[in-house]
Amino acid sequence: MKKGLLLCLSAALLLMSCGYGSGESAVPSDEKLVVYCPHPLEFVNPIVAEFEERTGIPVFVCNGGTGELLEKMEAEQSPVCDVFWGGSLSTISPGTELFEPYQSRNEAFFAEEYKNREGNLTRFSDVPSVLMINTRLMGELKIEGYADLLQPELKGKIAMCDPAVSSSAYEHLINMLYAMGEGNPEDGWEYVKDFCKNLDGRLLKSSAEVYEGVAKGEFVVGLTFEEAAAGFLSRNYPVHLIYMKEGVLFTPDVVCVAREGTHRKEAEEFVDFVTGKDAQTVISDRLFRRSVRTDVRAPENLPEKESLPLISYEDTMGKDHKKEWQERFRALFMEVSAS
Amino acid sequence: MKRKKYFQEELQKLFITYAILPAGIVTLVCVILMMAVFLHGKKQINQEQNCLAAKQMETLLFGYKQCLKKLENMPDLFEMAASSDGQSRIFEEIYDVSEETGYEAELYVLDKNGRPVFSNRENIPSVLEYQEGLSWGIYKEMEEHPGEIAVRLLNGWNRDESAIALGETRQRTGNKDGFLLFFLPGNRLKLDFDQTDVQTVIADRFGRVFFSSGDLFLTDSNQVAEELEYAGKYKHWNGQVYLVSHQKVCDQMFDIYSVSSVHTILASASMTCVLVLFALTLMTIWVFVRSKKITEKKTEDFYKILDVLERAGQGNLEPVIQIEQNSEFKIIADAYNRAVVTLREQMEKNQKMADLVAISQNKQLESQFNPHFLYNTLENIRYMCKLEPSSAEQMVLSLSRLLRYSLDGSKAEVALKEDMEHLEYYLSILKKRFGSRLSCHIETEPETLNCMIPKLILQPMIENAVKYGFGNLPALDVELKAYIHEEKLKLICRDNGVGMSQAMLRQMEELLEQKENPSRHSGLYNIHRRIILLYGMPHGVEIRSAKGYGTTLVVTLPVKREEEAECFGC
Repeated sequence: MKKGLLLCLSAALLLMSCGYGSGESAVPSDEKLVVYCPHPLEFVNPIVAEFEERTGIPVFVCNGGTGELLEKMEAEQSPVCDVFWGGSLSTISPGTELFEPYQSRNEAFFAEEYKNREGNLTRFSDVPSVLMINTRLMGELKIEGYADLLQPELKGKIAMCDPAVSSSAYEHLINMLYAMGEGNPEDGWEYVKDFCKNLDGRLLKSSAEVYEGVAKGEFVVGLTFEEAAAGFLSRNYPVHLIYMKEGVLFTPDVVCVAREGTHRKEAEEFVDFVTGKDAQTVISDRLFRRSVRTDVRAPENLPEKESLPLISYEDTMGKDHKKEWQERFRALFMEVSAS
Repeated sequence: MKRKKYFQEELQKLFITYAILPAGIVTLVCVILMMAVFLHGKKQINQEQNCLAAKQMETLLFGYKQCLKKLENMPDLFEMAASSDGQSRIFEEIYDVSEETGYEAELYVLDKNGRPVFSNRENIPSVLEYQEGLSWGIYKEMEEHPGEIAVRLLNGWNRDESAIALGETRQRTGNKDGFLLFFLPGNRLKLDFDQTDVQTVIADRFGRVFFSSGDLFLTDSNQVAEELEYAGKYKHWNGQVYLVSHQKVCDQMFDIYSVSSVHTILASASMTCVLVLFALTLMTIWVFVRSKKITEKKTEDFYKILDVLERAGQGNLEPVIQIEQNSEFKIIADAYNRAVVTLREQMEKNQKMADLVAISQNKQLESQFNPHFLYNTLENIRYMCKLEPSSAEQMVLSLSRLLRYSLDGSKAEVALKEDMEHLEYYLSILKKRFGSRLSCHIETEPETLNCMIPKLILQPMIENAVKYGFGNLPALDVELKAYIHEEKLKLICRDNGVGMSQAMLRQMEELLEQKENPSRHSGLYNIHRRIILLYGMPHGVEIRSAKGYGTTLVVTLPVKREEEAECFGC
């Protein structure tokens, strides 16, 4: 009798729970092209939307730090990456085996220095590292380059991301080592140590925290990349861009077809689209990116590349020492933060 | 006790099957029905809202498309835009369509270089800025398909700036002459029938949101979350359950989603179910605990009667049913009590009667001395008087003792030793009669001597042995034993005589079984009857005999010591 009762009740409950449980899908459906992308969403969305409208291919953007996305890719996490869009050459190059060889249709229009020599690393844009300062918080301070970041007034007010997480932060590390080491990266570590001391134990977890932190007034100065800072400037945030007088590292970022991807054709179409003239014009004219194409003019309101104290990516060893320098930075940071 | 439990279980079953279970099932069914009704209601509202929003969207886009076509077809639009009369005509058109659709859109008329010619707003939104040489966005579509209206969601990633643009390239004589654009910001859209508990989301085919009346199911990029896009009717999201309806409108360009939270309904229904379950459990426990007491109390009288009847079945008529409550049971009990009293009286009377009969029968039986014996003895004495006067005197003495003993009616039972003493008189007479032809051995265990036995039991046993044993034999050996075996007093009389034939033995046994006094005299029958009358059935006489092997009589009696003996018939 008791059994029957329990049976009835459990049946009733089962009936109820059955009422809702239909249709479950957490990951994007197979139709979508999965783009791993560390670029800011403000930058990504207009281009992706245009791509979708033109081709009818729906896109799923997986946003995050370069290092984080690469790890995700290596672990073959779901959704499986079709296109890796973004990330500097120095960060991407060591993981080159993750990408499928592809020569973009637009390769012919690229400047010589941006040619896809490796076969699977199509250049997308050229990205200089900059300092982004909040003009309201600056006061009497003067910041012209890396050396000025050691001022005691800036202690704890510098936004810097972990170079192991963000490619823009790693670019800054390379930039520092070469600029402050005057061409010899080993000599730059002395400066990096002092710089870490002035971080006062604050190391951010994503590049977005850097530019957003400065734009919102949480930090006085942030070590970021040109486009992000220029974007905030164009949206009338009280920010200003500083090109380091000791030297500015220009590193191309890339757009690559992923080896494990399931949408080869669409992925190649995406690479062709973002390196095409229309998209490159838009990134240059509206989104403050320096195009890799010769037939697209440099962004207005941004200084000419030639007018800056240039450190060329080609001259640095950033891609060869990625892991070592990332770990060394972290160790140094931990060491000075502990003391 | 066993039966009581059974009755109790029956009562519990009764409670559960006819009270708790139906109540529980009815409650659960009600809860589920209620939930279904609520859900159905929600679903209807949700679907209604979805249809209304879809209709509104269709009307909106259709209205402005019509208006755009109308304006595009005005040959002197650019000239009109320059004059105030013309402008008011254009405004009229816009007014009409905004009346019709309930939404006021922004109109931008641009010349072929993208410079504004006319607008009902001061500044052109940056997203609509035309850039010479750049084939991008809605302008690309407008230029590539002149004569068709391009529809585009702009700035879909930004919730505040998301807008739909309708645009067409104005052509004159086959050449591009300018652009006409309607700009419909999503944040200005008001739903006609806005249900506060239904969130309506309007998104383009890539899930970019044009309008949403809430924040559920939207990603950081203001896109419809994957979960919603591929949703069934019910959807889990962030640990809540939602009801979703969805339809595509405007040639599959836009998706209308309506989302209602049904979490409260499901949560309250589950809660109610749990409560019902809990209450049922409590009730079940209560029934199990209470029913025992209740059944005990309610069936107390019933079991009283049952107990008494059970005992009566075992022969115990003593207990009388006591019932205080004035109920049907009392009537039964009273009737039973009266019946028992009458029955008992009747039984007592019967018992007394039976005793009287037994005593008188016993008396009659024990007084029957075998006349042949008397005759033979007297005959012997006559001879003895001549041959051996002293022995004759002895025999007369023995006979007179024996007769006195048998005629003494004061006691029916005597101690074994007493009967044994009087047996000696009988034996002495027999010895005189048979001389050396008869030998007799008596063995009695000492503890048997005090046992009470019916008077004159032993004598008929010897008599029987002599009567049937001799036949033509020259001598007869008789053995008498008394001992106690398995709480019974056994008296054995064994002779080495001729024994009985099978037929004879059966005849004897049949004789013993008769209840009535047989016509033919038999000492054996007498003692058997007397024992049965005095002690009842398992006792009595048993004959074992075979032709040529002598006869053995076994008399079984209860062990009754002298001190506890009661006097029958005194």
